[in-house]
Amino acid sequence: MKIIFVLIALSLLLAVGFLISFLWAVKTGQFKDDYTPSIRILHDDNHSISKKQN
Amino acid sequence: MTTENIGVQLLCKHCNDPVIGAPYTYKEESFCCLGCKTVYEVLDQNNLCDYYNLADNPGFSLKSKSKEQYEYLDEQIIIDRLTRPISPQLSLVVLQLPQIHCSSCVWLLEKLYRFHDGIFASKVDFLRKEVEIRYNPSIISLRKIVEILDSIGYKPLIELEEHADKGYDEKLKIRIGVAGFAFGNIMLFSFPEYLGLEDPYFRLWFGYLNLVLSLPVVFYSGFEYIRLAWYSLKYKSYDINIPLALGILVMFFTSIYQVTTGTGAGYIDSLAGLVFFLLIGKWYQQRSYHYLSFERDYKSYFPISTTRITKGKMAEISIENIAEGDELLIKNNQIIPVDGVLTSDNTSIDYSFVTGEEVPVVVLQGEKIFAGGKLKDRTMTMVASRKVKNSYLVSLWNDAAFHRNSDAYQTLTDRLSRYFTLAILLVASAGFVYWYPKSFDNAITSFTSVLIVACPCAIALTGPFLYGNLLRLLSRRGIFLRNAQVVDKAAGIDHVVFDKTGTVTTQLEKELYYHGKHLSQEERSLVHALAFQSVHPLSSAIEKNLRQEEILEVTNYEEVEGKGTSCICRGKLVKMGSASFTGAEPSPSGETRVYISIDGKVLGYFIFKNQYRDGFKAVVSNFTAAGKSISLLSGDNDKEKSRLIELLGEGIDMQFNHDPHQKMQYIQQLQSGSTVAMIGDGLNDSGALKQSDLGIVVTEGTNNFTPASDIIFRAEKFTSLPDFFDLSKKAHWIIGGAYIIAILYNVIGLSYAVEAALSPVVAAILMPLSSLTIVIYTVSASALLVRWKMPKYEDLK
Repeated sequence: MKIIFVLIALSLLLAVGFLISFLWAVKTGQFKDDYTPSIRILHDDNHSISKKQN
Repeated sequence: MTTENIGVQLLCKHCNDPVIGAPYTYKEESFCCLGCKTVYEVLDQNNLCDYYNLADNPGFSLKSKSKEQYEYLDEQIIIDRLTRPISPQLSLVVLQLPQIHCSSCVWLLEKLYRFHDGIFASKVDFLRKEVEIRYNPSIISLRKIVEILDSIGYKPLIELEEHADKGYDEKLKIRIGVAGFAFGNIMLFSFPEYLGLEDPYFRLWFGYLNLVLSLPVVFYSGFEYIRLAWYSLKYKSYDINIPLALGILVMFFTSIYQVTTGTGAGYIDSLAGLVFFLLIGKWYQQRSYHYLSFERDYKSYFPISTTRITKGKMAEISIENIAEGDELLIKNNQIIPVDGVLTSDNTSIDYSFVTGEEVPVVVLQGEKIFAGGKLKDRTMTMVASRKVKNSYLVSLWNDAAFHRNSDAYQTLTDRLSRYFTLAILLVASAGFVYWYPKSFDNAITSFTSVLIVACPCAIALTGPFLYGNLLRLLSRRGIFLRNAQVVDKAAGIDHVVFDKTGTVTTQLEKELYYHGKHLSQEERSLVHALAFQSVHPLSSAIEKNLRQEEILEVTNYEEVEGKGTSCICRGKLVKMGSASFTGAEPSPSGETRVYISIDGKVLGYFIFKNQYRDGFKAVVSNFTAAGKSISLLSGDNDKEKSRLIELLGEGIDMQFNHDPHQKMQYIQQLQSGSTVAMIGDGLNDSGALKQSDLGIVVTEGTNNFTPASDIIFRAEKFTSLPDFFDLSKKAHWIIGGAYIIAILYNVIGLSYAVEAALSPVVAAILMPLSSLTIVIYTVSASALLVRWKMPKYEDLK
């Protein structure tokens, strides 16, 4: 049964890893705008490719 | 008089508005106005006309938009405040574009690099209505960028004031993350306890592990509650934070005691769950419309800078630096930043923001002019007689009455929680007294169990989820609330005050009546041709009314400021204006009249009447039926009084000729006996809006300037006003229902607790279950309530 302590230590470590990545995501502003990307992804960039003329 | 309707309805390619009169055309497309056509041309030249294919109605009308001057954006001080340099070749600027409203906007604004080589990239934040532009300041100036945006119809709203509370959101998310992390792990490590495993090692290790995990929950995520409870005790304003903090602390210390003495596993899982749910409720409630400002003051309306003339030299200065005696240069359509005296020729100034009257006022040389007016004539010069902050309009904001502490307001939840705290303390003490003679241990257990299980988690969650959901649902219906407390405040209102001009009358149109000789087709064409020449609001109203297919050519056009206009058309002298100007008999009535004459012969006159909003009468009678008193305030004279009485009947207190200060004082007087809601529109009633218990702004579009207020109401939702007040009252029913659920759970929990038999498993099940029930109940009940009261729903952007 001693293996359970190792496993728990590992699971906690994993959870801490997720917590840190969440904090990083918040800090880098990934939750700042959760709406615009949903519009942006629908834009097709293929039509009207013709370059700016000047 | 009749107006002809044009048979085939042509729609503008850009804004989709119907084209009235002769259309403007470009490449076989029709446009309603020059502004729309120009935008199309710019987009066409840059091959960006896909803009029109991506969404149904991407363009917005540019009629009545004036061209702005952006010279001040070349000022280094202003550039420094607006932009963030990253390297000499890269700068970053974030601009607010209130016009962003559809996916085409996002598409176009992220293609800004196609307009100029100096722009690298642009990124839109749709909800904030902002665009972040990366550009090379050595190739393109900030002013040029803003001019490009303006030319495609997105006029940036430039404010130097920083609006706070941008970082707050982030902290809350981190708190939730930490609490969620701890909650999940603590639940996992509590499993042996739930399953009844009696292994002493597990109990010891998991107990300590849980204690360690609970530390960030109590001292970071949930610490705000303890801190706020401390403050509310200190200032004796008992609110919901006190029972919450009590619950958190009792659970925490009981758990420490049980774990360290090996007598039990404590309630750490319930503790973490409580904090986690509370924070989620807070997050749900904390909805902000980033693009709407409820804190705007004169600074966002006034220009950022102005031109000062010193010894014949002109220089741009920030308006804060204007000193008494400075000579200032104001251009057409600019806003006068400071009170002063006109030094150049007679001119006309639009004081619609100050008085609500949109017909420009003529000011003679040497007369006083006031800050807040907009110049409607050629460039003028003036001498400042005060500093900006002492100007009449600005001094309203500095009035002491405005600095009331609005945080002191106690919501229903806070008021009830006082009794709640008292009740659970009583029950807990009763349990303690009952057990004390038999077993001291049981007495302690009973006492703490009551405090734990009766922790007002359910009550604390009702408010956030109810109001949070209402805020969201109402915003989709064009009603934007400043915060959750507003719903609660609205429920207590018993006196409603309307501002007349711009609030109950529409800002856009005036009713036009013609009196006099019947106009022949030719005469109509002549008058129209003259009216077409001027941008004066009365002229444009006449022009719209007489709109002709063909616009006749005119010569010798002349505009006499404050008198009228004249021209020669088809060899005839056409005049339009005041009685003396056209040669008509002056009339003593207070009406606004515009006379017309052709070749010296007076034909008749137009009268302008305010047009009241549709349903104004119904709104007033609904309020009266709901037992609210009504007042009507106006800055105008009382020429409309009889018409208003006819429309609304007696029994309404009507006050005319009130200046902004008097409006505020009027509200103040009312407040001695009642709770007052003020419904207004602009700067001229902003004092009253702030003074009132609930300030509501009715606005034609959220793009417009909206002064400080509690609620922003879209004008087309004007008739929903009584429904909103009714809804706010009904919201109390939902709160009542939630309390009944909470009490039921508490009775079950307490029956275990007073018997000193509350096992951690029961607590661990009961607490999340009660929270969940409350959340589901409040969210669905509030959705039903809104659907019942305001069934009409269209996604207003």
